[in-house]
Amino acid sequence: MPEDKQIQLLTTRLKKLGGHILSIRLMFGLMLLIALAAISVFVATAVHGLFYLPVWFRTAFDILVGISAFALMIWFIFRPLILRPRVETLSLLVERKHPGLKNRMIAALQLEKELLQNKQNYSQVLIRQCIQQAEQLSREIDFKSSYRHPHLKTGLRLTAISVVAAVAMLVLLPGLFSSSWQVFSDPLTEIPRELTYDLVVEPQSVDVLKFDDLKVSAYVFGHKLPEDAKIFWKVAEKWRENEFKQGNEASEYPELQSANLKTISDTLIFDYTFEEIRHDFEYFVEVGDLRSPMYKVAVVDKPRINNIKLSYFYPEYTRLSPVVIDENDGTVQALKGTEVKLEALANKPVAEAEVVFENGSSQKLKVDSNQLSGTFPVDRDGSYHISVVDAIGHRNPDPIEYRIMMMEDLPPSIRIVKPGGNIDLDDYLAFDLHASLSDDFGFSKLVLHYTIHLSALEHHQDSTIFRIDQNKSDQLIEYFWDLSNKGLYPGSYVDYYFEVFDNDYISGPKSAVSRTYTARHPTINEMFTEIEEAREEMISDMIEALRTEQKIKEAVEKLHEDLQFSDEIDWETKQDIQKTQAEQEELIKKFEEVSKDFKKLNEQAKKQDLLSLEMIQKLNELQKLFDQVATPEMKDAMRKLAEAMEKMDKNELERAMKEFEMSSEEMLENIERSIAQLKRFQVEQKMQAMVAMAEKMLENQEGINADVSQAQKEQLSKIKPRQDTNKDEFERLKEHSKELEKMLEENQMQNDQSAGSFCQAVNDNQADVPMEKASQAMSQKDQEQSAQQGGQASMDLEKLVDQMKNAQSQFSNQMSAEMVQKMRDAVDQLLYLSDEQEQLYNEIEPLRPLSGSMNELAQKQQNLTSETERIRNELVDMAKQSAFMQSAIDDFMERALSSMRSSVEAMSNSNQRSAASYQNEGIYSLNRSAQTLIQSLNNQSQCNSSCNKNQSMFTKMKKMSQSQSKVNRQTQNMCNNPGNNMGKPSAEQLRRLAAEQSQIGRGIQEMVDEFGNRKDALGRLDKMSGEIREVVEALEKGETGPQLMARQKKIYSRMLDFQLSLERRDYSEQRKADTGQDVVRESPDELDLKGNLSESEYRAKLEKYMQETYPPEYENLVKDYFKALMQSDNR
Amino acid sequence: MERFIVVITCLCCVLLCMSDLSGAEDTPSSLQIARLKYFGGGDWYWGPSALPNLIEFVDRNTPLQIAPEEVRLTLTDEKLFHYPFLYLTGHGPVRFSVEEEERLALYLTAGGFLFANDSYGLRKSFMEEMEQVFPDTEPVELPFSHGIFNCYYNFPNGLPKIHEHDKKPPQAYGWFVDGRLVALLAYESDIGDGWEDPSVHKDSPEKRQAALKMGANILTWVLLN
Repeated sequence: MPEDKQIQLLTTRLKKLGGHILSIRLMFGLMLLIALAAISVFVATAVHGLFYLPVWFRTAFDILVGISAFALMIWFIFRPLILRPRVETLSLLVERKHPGLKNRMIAALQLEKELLQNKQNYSQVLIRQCIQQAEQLSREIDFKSSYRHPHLKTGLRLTAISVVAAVAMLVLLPGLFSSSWQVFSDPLTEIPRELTYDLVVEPQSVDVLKFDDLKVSAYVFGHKLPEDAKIFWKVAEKWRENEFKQGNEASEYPELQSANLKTISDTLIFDYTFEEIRHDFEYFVEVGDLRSPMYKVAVVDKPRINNIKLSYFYPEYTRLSPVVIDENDGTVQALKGTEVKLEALANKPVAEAEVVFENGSSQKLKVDSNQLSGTFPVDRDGSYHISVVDAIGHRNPDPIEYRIMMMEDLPPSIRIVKPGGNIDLDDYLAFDLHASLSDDFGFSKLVLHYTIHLSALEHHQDSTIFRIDQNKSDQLIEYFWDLSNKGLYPGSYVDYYFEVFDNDYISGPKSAVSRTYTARHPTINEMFTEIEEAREEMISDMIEALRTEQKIKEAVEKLHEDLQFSDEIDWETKQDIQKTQAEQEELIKKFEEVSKDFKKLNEQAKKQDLLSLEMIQKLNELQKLFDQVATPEMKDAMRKLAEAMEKMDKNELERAMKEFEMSSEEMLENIERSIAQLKRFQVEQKMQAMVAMAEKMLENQEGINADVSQAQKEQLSKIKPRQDTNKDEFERLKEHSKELEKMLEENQMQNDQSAGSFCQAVNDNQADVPMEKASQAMSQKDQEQSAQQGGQASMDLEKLVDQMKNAQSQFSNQMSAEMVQKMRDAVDQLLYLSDEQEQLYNEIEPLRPLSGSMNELAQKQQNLTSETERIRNELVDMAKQSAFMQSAIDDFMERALSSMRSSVEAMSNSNQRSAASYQNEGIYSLNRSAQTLIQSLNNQSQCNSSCNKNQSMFTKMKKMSQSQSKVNRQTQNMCNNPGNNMGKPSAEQLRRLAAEQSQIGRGIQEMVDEFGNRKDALGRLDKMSGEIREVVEALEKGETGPQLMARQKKIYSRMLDFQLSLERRDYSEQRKADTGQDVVRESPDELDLKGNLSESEYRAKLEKYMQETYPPEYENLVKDYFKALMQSDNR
Repeated sequence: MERFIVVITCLCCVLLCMSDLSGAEDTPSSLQIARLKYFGGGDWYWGPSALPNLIEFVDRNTPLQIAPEEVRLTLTDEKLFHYPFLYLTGHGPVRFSVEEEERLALYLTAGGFLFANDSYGLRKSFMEEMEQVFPDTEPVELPFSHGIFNCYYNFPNGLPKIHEHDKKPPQAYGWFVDGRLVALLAYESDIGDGWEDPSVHKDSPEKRQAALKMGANILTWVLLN
């Protein structure tokens, strides 16, 4: 083996020895550390178990243990690691143990370095030899046995003992060990000295509600308990203290159990109560040597609601805008279905909030810090409150309970305002139907329900739905209801009512119905009978009034007589006068009522086409008479009587009584005259109505005939009721004829030939026979026979109508002619009397007083007076027969008679001058009577002639106006009425209306052609015609709207005015034009026809025009013209 | 505007000539007076017996030949140009539409004549309308020396006073186009009423005669100028 190998082997073996030594040393160091730890644990536990260990001790102990451990680690672990023995040292250690090596090994290690360098010039061989010897000598030696640690066994023993002791301590006293570990692991923490008692404070740190009380309890338990306790607290940086008060027995404090305290019999409890805490504070409790930790009491507010705001979101159908209730009042008062948005502000941030209703249900509110919000619906009456809980679980105490008052949507209401009652339909079978609807929030539907009663057995129901403005809560529906296509005939009727539904979609639409009314298609007979009966009743009332007035007159006469023979007015007389006066006033009022009723009745008759133009004019005159029954003189007399009664002046009262008496007489005459004229008028009215009935029957019969010809056999039974109705009407006509005969007799006209012919025509007519047969044929479904008999009935009726009209016309003309003749005769007689009176006046005027011929002349005057009285009576009779006789005639005749009587008396007294004067007055009064009578005569004549002349115009215009009224209402209905077409009318409807309007226009134009030569008619007709054209154009263009309706209304007004002027005979009134007086004045200045244009200016203008450009097609023409002008100007 | 009227006038003349040449069948064979129907509220139909009486008077007392019946037409009537003499009367306001104003301007400048009789209350509106018809032409009050007052009968004091209106003297206002009298308004005279039947206004024969004579003068002047 080479030397280097040998030396390397030797070195390796020595290094291994070095490693062995290091491991032993490290193990020893580790054992020492373990022993130190075990001893420390043991000591610490033991010390902790035996003594109270203050901080310093524990700290010092911990430091000491730490330093020891550190030192051990440095010396026994790090030092061997760092200071490892060199190879030579190890070699010496081995050679010291094994002296047989004889230092060869150390020598080999030292010489081996010289082997390479050999600075000392040692023998290489020797060196090698030495190395070989060293290797050989050490080959058998265990180097590891060369080292023994001197304290290893001691260390091991110490470690084992200490570990065993520590483990034993751990096993035997684990609590102590644990406690010891805690104590020594945290040496700086003070360890409470173990006392014989302990202290628990409740509630320690706590949040307390502001103004709440806080009871702090200190529980002291153990042995040798102290007797005193103190509580210290700091408020506003200042400490305060107070003695604790000893509390009750521990058993009374259940919290003791919950606090998991040791139940030791010897326990003290100390209480202290902080009252109405307002601020935060800290406190601790001191009991004997014990002091509790510092606790903190935080004052917190209770949550509460400071502000509440409600917003109502009403149901959509109400269209009400949301409403915010700002009053900070949570009371809910809203319509059912309203969504209430609740917004509230709490005094502090809250964790949760809810609305709690009276029935216990609740609804969470959204919480954002202290802001709460949420919604809930109003669906019943009730109440709610807001409950909030703050972050620490406090709930708002005693929340306010707010009421919820649910308002119900009210049901709608509907009322038919027009016609507002049962009505009779006119010929057009159409009428205005206006309904007033109201609801709190609008409507959803309007339905017109109606039942058409065609006969007692046949009726059918139907309804029309109106689309109305659902958003308007109050509205008036104006509907023009045209029933002409509903198959109504005289005698049938329609029951109808409206039903309206509101738009309450929350509880469901509620409905209301109007009253049910009837629209009847009356027969002429019914219409006439109604009017006739009303007039009869009126006549009865007037006869009663006449009797009353007679009694009043008698009473007045008696009172007047009594008054004349008494010196003063006694109480009874006064009472009687007042009573009479009251009766008279009542009678006047009654008559005013009668006059109003009369007017209404006439309007009704006019509307129902029961009056001819002549009759209307007569009625107008009669109306004037009615209005004048209570004369102004009567009213004046009553006023004077009242004044005299007040003054109690006998003379004045006598005068007033006299005037009253005279007025009463006059009123009596007026009443008598009114009754007489009304009775006569009833005859004419009856005739007119009978003619109208016959015409209507004819029209109905023709309608029936037409329907029969077009109907199937099975349908004939449906026509039968109409035929029966017509037959019934005919029978009633005959009854009217009988009644007419009686009336003629009552009015002493029974001998009138034309009236007789009139009745005879009705009585002889046998139209009822074919009508009856036709009816039977209809029952048997015999169409041919029905048509045949119907045709016969038509012919009979046609004949009847002609006969009646002729007789009526003759009767009317004859009556008028007789009256005119009577008036003329009366005028002649009055003029004759006036002449005679004048002659008498001329005879008496030159006579001397007390002349002998005075008596003779007085006799003549007496004769004249008697004659005048006779004529006056005749005139009174005439006044009862003619409505055109002016009441002024009677006044003048009275005055004339009075003057003439006075003249006779004056003559008897030979008072020639006075007689002449009275005669003069008599002449004047007679002349005025004649003059007034002539006016009456003219009126009577004009009525006859103009009525004949204007009847046709009147009738046509009446029909036109009725048509126009219908068109107007249709237009209005179409434009305004939501009925069948909401919004704009359709083009078809407009075309139809335009056609109807155009038809009226053609009718007016025909009237223009027919009556255009009459100055009273042309202007009006022409204006109507022009306006109708405009309306037609507007309708054709679809220009509907208020303007169109206004135009139509204007046309209708013109038509009515036209009729009215014919009725009142005011068309002949002329525009007043006074003849002008010639005026002489200076002539205006002479003309300067060239104006201010000089010739040069004129030429300049022409040249300028020549330069202008004109449309190409005219340019040459125009310029040629200007050239021609310039040339002519040159010439 | 002047230029426009001149142009329109020329065109109308041409058109009128052409229509004359074409010999329209509807053209009346003799002079016929037309009553102008107007709107505005006035009673254009006032005095239905006036024109027949005037025509009868003229026929009897002058060499003029006038058709016995009056024609009634509006300014928009297509036959307007067939009648050279228009008679307008009434009590109320007169209103022309724009179309009517243009037609009247055309008619008057083309040779037509308009006689307006203020029966009462017509003057103001008529003046306003004529201002629209001839914006550049002011009405002038005719002096007594004007030919219209002496062309057949002599009226040395101008228009006769037939009816009393506002206690003012009668005045004749004329509108001239190119020196020709195209329109005449009789104010505070009411000769139209004077032409009516005696029973209508109960005028004295002298007044009626004066009115008719003045009417004859107007017709004569118009036809001769």
